[in-house]
Amino acid sequence: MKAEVSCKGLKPIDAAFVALDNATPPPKRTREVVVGRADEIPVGGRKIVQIDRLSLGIFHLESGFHAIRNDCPHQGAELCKGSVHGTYRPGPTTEYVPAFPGRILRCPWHGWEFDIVTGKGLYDERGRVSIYEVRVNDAGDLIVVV
Amino acid sequence: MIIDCDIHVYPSARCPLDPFIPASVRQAVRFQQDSYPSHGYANPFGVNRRDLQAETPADVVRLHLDPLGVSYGVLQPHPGYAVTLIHSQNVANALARAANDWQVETYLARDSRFLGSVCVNLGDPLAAAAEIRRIGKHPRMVQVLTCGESVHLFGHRAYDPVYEACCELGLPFAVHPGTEGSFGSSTPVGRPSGYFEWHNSLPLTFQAHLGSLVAEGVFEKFPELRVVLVEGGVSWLAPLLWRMDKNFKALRGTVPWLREAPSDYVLRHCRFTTQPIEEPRHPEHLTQMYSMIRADRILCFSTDFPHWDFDDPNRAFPSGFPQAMKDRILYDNAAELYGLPARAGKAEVVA
Repeated sequence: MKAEVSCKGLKPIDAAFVALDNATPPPKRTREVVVGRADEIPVGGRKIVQIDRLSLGIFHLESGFHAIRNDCPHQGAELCKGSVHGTYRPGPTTEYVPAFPGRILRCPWHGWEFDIVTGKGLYDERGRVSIYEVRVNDAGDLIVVV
Repeated sequence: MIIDCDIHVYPSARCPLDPFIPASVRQAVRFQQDSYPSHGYANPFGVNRRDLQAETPADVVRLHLDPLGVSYGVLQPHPGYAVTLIHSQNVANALARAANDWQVETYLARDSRFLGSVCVNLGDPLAAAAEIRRIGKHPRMVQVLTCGESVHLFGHRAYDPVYEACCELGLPFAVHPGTEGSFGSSTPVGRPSGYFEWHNSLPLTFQAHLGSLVAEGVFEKFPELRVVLVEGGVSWLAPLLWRMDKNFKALRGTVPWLREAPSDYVLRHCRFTTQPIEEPRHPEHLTQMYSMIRADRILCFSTDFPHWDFDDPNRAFPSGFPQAMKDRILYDNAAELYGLPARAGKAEVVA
């Protein structure tokens, strides 16, 4: 396991990327809700589900299933309808250093980037969206913990 | 206490530039190889104040430094500040050098309150860097200076050698307007019809250069670099910073070398001068604008002596302007920028 890197003293965008590198686990929640079957979302696919008043996007990445809140903290767009791609991490001037292929969600309205795995926004050091634990049980049900 | 960041000085028969120009270049000048394009906009009433004539260092001391109690005055020498426009690179480089020697041996020698600007020809960045290293060690040459008109936006990597030399010598890179429209148009969408309209357009150049400096990552490449935007206006800054910060959130991946919000870079690396001070109908609006851009950190006073749009330090600020902010604008910010002594009676300069 990678040692955690401290964000202290870092420039804001570097701090944002450290949050992705550290891949903070989702907070402990207890309510388990079956939202469908694992085999209905192929790798690279997604499903938007509604649990009471909570709208979530379930994404099937190479690393597994991830759930992220379908609500952009900027102006409330349905974030999970955005495109999924990689991004470029801070590097030397004029160089594009690819990073996190296939796990960055771009808001369909203003294009802000969020990491699907950690919920961290890549535009400053603070911004983030809530993420939720997803499990697949032995029967192949897709379970979100909210 | 006052630091004036913008005092224009001109060679004259009583304070000539010719002795500082090498003989070979004087011949080139006779061949008119010092020619440069003009923007074509002249103030019909003249660009200088009509109540005085300042031809020598003694004149500027008597007419400006003494009566206004200016502690330090930063020179913006003509024609040196605009040699970048000259077609002949040989002549442009030589006249930059002449303008710098002229300042040192006339103004700086006359009075310790005068501070010089290293004039450079940005058309030849390597020569500009060499000139910075040659004369920039002079303890009272406090910045590098060029005009707002240039071949490239200032974030262009062609100017990296200039910024490298600035950082090496610890000199801010200063920009002064007045030549806009010489190479192209002073606006990107057409030529203004007259001086009034042209003068109104000058902040456009500064906004473009500032955006370029940020986007190209100049402040990442040169973390020690300071940029001084002289006489290009101030109140446009807040909306530009907001626009850049907002766009950055959506488009960061297109400029991934930026590690901070654009406004963070600007407020840390850039300084601005006051004149021509904006005069909103409701004077308190000026204070509000200044608060939005942290004027108590980034704004330095300037008069533009002896030009027609001169600001008097005793009259330029509206009544009710906060005294603490005024003190920092009049003296402290420039003192910190140029490494000048802290205000008398002030124990410590806040970093």
